[in-house]
Amino acid sequence: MTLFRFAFRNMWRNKRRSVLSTATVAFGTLAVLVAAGFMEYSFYGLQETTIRTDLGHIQIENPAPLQKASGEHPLMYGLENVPTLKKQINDMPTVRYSMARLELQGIISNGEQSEIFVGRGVEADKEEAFASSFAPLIAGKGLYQASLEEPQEPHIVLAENLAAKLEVKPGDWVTILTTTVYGGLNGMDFKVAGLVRHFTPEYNERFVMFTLPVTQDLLQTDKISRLIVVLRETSQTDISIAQIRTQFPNLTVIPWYEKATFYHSVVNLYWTIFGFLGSIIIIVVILTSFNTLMMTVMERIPEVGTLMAVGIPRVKVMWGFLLEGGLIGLFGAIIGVIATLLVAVVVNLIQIPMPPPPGGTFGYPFKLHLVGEYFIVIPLLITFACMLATYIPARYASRLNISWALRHR
Amino acid sequence: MYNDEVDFSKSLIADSYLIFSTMNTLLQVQDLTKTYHDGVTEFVALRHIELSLQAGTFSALSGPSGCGKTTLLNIIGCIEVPDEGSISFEGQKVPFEKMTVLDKFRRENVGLVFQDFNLISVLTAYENVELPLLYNSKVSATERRRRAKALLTAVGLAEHLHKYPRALSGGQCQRVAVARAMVNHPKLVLADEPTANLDSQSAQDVMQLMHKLNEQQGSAFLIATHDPRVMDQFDQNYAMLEGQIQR
Repeated sequence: MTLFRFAFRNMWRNKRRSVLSTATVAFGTLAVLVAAGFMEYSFYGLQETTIRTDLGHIQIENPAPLQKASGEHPLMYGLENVPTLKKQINDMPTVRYSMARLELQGIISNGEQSEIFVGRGVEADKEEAFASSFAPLIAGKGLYQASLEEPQEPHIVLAENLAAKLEVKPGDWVTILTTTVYGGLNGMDFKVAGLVRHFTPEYNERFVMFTLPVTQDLLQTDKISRLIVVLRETSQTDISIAQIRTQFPNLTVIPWYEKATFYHSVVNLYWTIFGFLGSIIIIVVILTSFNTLMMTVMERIPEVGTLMAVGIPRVKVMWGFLLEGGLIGLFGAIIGVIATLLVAVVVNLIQIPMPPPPGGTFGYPFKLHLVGEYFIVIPLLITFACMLATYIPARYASRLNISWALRHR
Repeated sequence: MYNDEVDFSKSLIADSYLIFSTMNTLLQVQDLTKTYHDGVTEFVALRHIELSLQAGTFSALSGPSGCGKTTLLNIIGCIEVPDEGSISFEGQKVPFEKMTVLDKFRRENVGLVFQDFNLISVLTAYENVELPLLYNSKVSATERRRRAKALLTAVGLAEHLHKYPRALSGGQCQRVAVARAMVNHPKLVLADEPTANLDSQSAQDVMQLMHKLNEQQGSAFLIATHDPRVMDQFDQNYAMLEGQIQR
């Protein structure tokens, strides 16, 4: 007969109460795990959106424009010898490919009205493949396809709202005015190939995408603003950063998370909300367990007196109750884990649509991203919380006056 | 001079008797007093109790309800603390001020039998009997099992080792409780009205069982009872009335 078996048998003495307590713990575990799963899915989605529509995994720049804060024409210090650099980067085992970007700003006009734009010259095939799911094409063609079909004409892709303000559609022509790398004014007409819906509203109001060669012609340069490195796995960012920095000590190498301020704001916000809700759930679990075990102790006062009278040490009496609370927590947590897995299968299958999050332009399906660590840490935490809740009743029991306990009815 | 010699020899005899008496004295209760307080009211349960119990004896503590039998047994069994007075066990004073020492003392020296049997309902008869030895580091697991089985056999329950208390009769439950009290080989067994909840036959059986164990194992028994059916079986009877032992 061990203390564990004794606690296990005691747990089922009042089946209805134990089942109710176990169910409370199971629902608590389910709630915390589902919330954590949704939060992780949101983080993953936002991370990938941030990487694929804007930052890439790693950005490589020439440090000069950053060092010369007063430089009027940063592109004078853009990256050179790009093909050689790309080859060396692409040869790294963690790198899927790299792609050049040339940033520009200026004015876009339909002939009657003008708007300010922020633009990007890109390697269209790679860029569109990389970001297609995260900045979907809503009308017309992609830049790459349009360039293949009509190679003699310069194309651009516009953000949805910018096109709406200019009242242009795929097939229309617009004029772009910008400054060259030396500060001169340059202009060119472009055919609108398609419209994209960008996740970030600010981009959706201003963004224009060009092919890289045309952009270099427009800005009169053969340099690029930065090289975007696309990795095989996002989790390989840190190891890749270290390798690139070792190989190219004179270049500025920036991981995506150092520039992802919006991502960090959302993560912090979610963690605050999740922490608050998780705390409430754990407090409910603690109070339920406390109530159950307190009632249990009160019902068993004569038995506690007997145990101590026949020689069971007080500390063992206390551990008996702690184990009982811990077992309720453990059983509840295991049931909660199983329930979460079932819920995750159903939810991920039916994909409930969610409204756009704050700062987003389109919604996404409600999905759970199951992280193994949570399935270990949260059940353990809840089991521990149940034991913690049992501590006061258990301590009370272990300190009972034996003769009073034996007389108690 | 002659008178002095006579006095001296008397004194020598008295001392020898005292030494002999002390050697066999298991329990010495001196000037024990206990008062219960309930708000403004006071109830004096024990008044200057003096009691000496020899090792291996089978003694009764008799008296009407409320005369202080249970209180005295509780204090002797170290589950309650006296207001005044002392108890010596085998010549050593019981340190009532240290709870952990009291718990250990009780675990190693005293067996308890209760009126309501007080068996643990989720444990079988066998598990109830081995319970007091679970945390006795001096007894191995093998020895613990052997003792529990042997005692349950001795009390006639060899066929009921794995039955839960709810499946046993009152007499059988009390026999399990007696076996539990004996399993740590106590020098003193304290039983509080062990036959009060039993029918006549079961009461006789339980008393005979305790008497047999007293003779076989040499443990002293002090049994609180006001059951006239069993009074003729004791070596001595300490009669109590209103918190005092009657001379």
